[in-house]
Amino acid sequence: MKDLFLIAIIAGETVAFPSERIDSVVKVRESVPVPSAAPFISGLFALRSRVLTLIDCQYFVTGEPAELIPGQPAIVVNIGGCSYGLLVDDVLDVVPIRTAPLPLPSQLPAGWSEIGRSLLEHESETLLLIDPDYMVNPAMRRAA
Amino acid sequence: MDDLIQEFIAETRETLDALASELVLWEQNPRDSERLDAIFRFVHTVKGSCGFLNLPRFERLSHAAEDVLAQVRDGRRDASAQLVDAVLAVIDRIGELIVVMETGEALPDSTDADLIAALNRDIAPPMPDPDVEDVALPSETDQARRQAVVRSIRVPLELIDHLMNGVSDMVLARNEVARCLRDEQNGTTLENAFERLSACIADMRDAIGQTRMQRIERIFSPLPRLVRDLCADLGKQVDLRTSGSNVELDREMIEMIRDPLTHIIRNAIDHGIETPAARRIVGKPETGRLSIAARQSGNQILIEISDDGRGIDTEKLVARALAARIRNPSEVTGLSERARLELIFAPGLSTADHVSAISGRGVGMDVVRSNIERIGGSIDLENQPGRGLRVILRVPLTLTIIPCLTVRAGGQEFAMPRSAIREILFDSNSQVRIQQVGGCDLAYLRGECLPYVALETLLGLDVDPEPQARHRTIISVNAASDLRYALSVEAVIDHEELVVRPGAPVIMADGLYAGTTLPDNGRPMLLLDPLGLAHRARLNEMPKPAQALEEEEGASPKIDGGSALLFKELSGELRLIALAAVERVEDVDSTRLAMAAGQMRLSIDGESRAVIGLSARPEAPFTKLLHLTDGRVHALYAVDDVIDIVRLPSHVEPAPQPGLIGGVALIGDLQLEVLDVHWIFSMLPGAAPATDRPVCRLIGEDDAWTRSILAPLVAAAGYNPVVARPGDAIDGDAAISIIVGDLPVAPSAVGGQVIRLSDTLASASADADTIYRYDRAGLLGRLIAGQQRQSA
Repeated sequence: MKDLFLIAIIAGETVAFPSERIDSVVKVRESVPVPSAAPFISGLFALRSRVLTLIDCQYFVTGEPAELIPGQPAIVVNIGGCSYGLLVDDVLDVVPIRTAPLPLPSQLPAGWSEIGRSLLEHESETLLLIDPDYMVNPAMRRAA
Repeated sequence: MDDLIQEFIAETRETLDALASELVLWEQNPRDSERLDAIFRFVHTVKGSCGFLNLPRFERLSHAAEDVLAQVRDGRRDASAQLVDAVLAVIDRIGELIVVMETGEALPDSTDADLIAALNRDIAPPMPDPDVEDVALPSETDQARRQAVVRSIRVPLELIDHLMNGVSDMVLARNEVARCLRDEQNGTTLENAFERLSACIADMRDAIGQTRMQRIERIFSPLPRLVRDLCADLGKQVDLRTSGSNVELDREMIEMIRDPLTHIIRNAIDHGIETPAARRIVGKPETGRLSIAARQSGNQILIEISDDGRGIDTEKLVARALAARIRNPSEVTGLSERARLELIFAPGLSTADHVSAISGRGVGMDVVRSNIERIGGSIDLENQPGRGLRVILRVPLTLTIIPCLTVRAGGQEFAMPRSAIREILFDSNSQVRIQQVGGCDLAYLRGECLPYVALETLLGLDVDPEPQARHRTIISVNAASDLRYALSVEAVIDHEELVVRPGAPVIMADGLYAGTTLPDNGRPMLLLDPLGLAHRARLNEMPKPAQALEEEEGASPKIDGGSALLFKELSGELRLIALAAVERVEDVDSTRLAMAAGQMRLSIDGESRAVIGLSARPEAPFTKLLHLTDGRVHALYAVDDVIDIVRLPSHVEPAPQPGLIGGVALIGDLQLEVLDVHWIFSMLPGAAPATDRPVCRLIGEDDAWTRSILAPLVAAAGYNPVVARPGDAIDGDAAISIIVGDLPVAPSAVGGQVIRLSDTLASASADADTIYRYDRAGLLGRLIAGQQRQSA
């Protein structure tokens, strides 16, 4: 379980999520905006009887809020007792990666270096490992 | 093994909480064998479990304590104060270690030799040991860690059984619905099955709600210990009484009120209750009294914390507010006593003379109030300077299901807790006027001026250019006890009870939202925080027009100025009455009115009260009544209609004779009669009838001033004024005599108490009995003092 990673696409780029943090992957049909909230919050959506916060992963990279396409996939994570949906372009696969993570290169653009935690080698491809904790509360890490 | 440790932690914590009060009682009476047994049992259980779970540190501590307690039990040792302290220290250490264990960290590596030595050191005073290592974590990190811990709850088995049965019923009901659907039996069979399922779900919801309920005892039981420790630190003696500990409250709520309650208790002991020496001087028993009572009232829980200390010194409070530049002198002068008391809630204000470890650390009553208000509660103070303070907390029973109003703004729907809403009006209503003053919008609702904001502006939404409703709706919001505003929304949709859950921290951080909810339509909805909205609108930072009005009302009992209610008498004429005297206006069913004992009377709240202004039962089905009150006595006054609220001019022409009409005021071009509220109350049964009143003889020229200015004042003070000329024969007894002007009447010739009114200020100070004729306060003071002497 520890070596499993979910491969997804954010802003056209293939990235990896640590699978032990992930509850499920769902399709989001519609979301309700949260006025005057931080720009990376895409809105609220209902998952059965629960209300989840939808995080716009693309915003961290491009600085542009993404328009929700009905049926777009979101990765559901539970952080600090709250459930969030991380809105991604697409979810590709779950793969085991056993190679040791590499440190982030220093020339990485600001957006990627903030949400990224390390680099992973998978089938001769290098993937950025995403840090879900940062995305649900960026202020927390900056303060720390 | 982990499970066992978790269970050990939960159980030990729970016993520790319950034991806290036992410990204090034991300390008061170390010979109380019952308490000793309870404490003995606790350390014995801890010892047993630790041996089994291999927790040597706990075992050493509990073993040492058990040994000592056993010796006390057998009478081999005396329970001296040191011994009690040492045992308490051991139990505290166990509690601290439990907290550390809960966070899943390794126990700090140290021995507890200091504590164990203290147990055996019988006579020697406890020396501050230089090696004493502090296990206690700093309180903030402690708090943060505690939150990270998995929370557990103990539920009675009976309730679990009930839940299990409920689930079985629900499954059966579901199966039946499924069968009906499969067989396409619509009609009544399906309806019945569905009904049953609904009933089951409702029942389950209640039962689950009960598992969340907890006795308030949970926060009461550690209080004796808190009080004991505070008293020991401050050198005070306090007798703590708690009642209503079996009242049940949502466990979430219990956590929320724990800190505010602790803070209020700290304040009561630190600032309220005096030292034993000071109490002796003012004639109070040396031991102060602090009582905490909880009770349920409707869907609210009331918690009263009252002490018999010195109360709040509002003068000092005002001085502090000025010194700390929280208020400026011009703001302070007009404040009513109540508004002055409210200063205690101003941020950054403390009445403590010096900052102590107990209070005055920056966390003030403002935080207490905002915490209480955040959970939909309120806080009230009843101050009796020199005699004590009573703090009343009102909190809702549960946080999860909140009666809400759903509103629409900017094409989106929001929920708003109904507890904060005072009234809802359309902006087309004639009672509503919106005006721009110096760049900010103000709404005048029935003469009351409130800051006015649109919800769209606050949330940064675009106003819907083609709204579904033709008129916007204005909600008058009571965000906090002194913070009111008018919120404009596109439309109010519905009123419903919503299950509210906290939102993600990133959403809640804004302060605009209090949570999220999922209504029937399946679209998530945000619950607005009325206080957060007010902060966003920067309402608490600008001068509050609403409060200014309130303060003026508070000052209106002054004879001149103030607000007055313009109303139409049943006979048709317009009259005014001081607004301060009007408690409320009510439409009553005319059938509740009856002629009895020569008066028109209304049956209300199980009693019969006289109605003024009615000579016969009205024919209309409803009668409009003004409820008048002087704070003690109530009176009812029948009117045809209430028209407006107006400002009284500073000068009201007094009426020539005392009576229902106290004077005439000029409002615009209209001369309107102003009711004399005082006269109304003086005519009520209960007030002394005119004949029984003590006589006050007014000796002077029978001029207009004496008759129409002095006489009503004397009558108002409860006397029967009799005008006498200086030459008249002085007959009959007068309780008090007033000599008007500088007449050559010898006081000795009059008898009784004599007051001399002088025409000029200069001659007023001639002797103690001479008062300047317009020294109203001085004259009334003398008259009232005389009245009291009479009745005594």
